[in-house]
Amino acid sequence: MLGINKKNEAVATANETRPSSPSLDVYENDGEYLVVADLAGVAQGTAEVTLDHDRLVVSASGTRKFRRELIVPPSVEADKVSAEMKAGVLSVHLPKRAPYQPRQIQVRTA
Amino acid sequence: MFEYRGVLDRPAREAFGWDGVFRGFDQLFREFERDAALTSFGSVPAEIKEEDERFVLKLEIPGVADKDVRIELHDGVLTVSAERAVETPAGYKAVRRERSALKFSRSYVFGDQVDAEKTTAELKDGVLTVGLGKSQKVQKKSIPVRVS
Repeated sequence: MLGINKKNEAVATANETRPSSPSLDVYENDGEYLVVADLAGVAQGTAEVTLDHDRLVVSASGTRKFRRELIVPPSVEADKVSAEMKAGVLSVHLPKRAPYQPRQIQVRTA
Repeated sequence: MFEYRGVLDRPAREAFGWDGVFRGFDQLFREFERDAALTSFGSVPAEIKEEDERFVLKLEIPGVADKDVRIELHDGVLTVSAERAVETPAGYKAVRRERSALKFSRSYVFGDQVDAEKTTAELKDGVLTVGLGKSQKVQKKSIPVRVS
């Protein structure tokens, strides 16, 4: 009986501290991917965006905690990732590396 | 000649990440499904708190512009309406869509507990906060006890 109670308590505590998973959209064009996430109550400049290899982590705490992880394609240029926040909506721009273009090499006659 | 090119093509693609790009598409934005999404359609998370002198209503409406929020207090009934559209930005195509467009109207009955003159509203960081001052009628009054 005691054991069960303890277990329930633990679940309740875990739920309270567990961050919410924000809804997000992903858009794409030739130049970049754009991730848009709803982070209501998160003040300007307090959202955290990290890119570790191919793992993009969005986290923030305001009225409540948010956290979400995404795997991004290898074509993303990590150095050029930027993010902005407006009215509780976070936008992350993930520019793509220039696509591989086969090059034609002219053979000159010696 | 054609065959020769074909054989050379494959490793070359891999070496230059060509195949990698397509693998990337397959696992594009695959999530760690540890956290179940708590997406709410049509309704928005709301909270009402009672303070000593007012009631405070908070609604989460990220991405809603000031002009798309309507707040009315009529005969003790507070009605909040808001809307937002979620559109693919020009020049992009959608890969994944979870954010929903919003259009809702909610009413809260406060009756004569609130004073219309003491109502405040603020929209900040996607959270709408409406403060409703309590009417004299319901405000706790401390009655000084005189010692006779």
